[in-house]
Amino acid sequence: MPEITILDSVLPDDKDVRLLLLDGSIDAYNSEVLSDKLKELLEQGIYKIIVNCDGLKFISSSGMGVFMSIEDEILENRGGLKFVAVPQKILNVFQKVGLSDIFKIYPDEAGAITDFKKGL
Amino acid sequence: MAVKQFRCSLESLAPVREAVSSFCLESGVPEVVEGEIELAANEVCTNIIEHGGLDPAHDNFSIDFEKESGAVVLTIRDRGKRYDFNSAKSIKNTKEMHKKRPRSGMGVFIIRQLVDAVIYNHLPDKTNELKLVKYLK
Repeated sequence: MPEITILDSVLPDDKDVRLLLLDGSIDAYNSEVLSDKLKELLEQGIYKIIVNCDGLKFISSSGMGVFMSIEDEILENRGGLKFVAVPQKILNVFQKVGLSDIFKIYPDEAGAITDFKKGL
Repeated sequence: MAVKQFRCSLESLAPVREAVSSFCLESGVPEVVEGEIELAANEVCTNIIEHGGLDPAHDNFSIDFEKESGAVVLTIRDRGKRYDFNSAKSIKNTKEMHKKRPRSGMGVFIIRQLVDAVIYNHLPDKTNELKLVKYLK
């Protein structure tokens, strides 16, 4: 299995928000690892998720599809999927394929946390 | 011109990306553009591996890496099932992606968004040949 590790942590001052720290690459070979982690959170009733992409080297359509496939369920439960620290190389492809219009993207975790607190 | 062979298995995707990345670095391609070529190549190879009907234990596909005047050209060849890139199942545009939020079926759309030309040929010896052309502005 190629290299992707997902560090899952609870924010100290908001137990409803979960932070996922991605490190590595996501493609068709390992996208189920990401899918399983997100399903696990949804099963726990966690619908506010911050995805820190600082260590993300690459994401294919398989990985993008995993995020898109849970977006409806998240929104129906008044949650959100927010991406932070997206490397320029990946942000560029998100913009080119239109993903940056679907997902909220922030420079850092603070902005995403603030918006969750505001109910955005 | 450099030609590399890869086993027809999803495990080859990481080595494919490494090869694309190294070639782009050697060719002076900016990192952001390299990211576009890397993703486009990854999607083509994923389609070959998942839909070409080839044997991961024995079959290979190849990539030719070329830098021509003002463009990078990747030529990806396989001996899997013949396909029609222009009518391949995929979402058609960003609007459809927003509406359907698909788990899969975005590969061809993404490839078209990221490179300047995609040229498919089915060669007389039944090889599928797909050229990805990215102009360097």
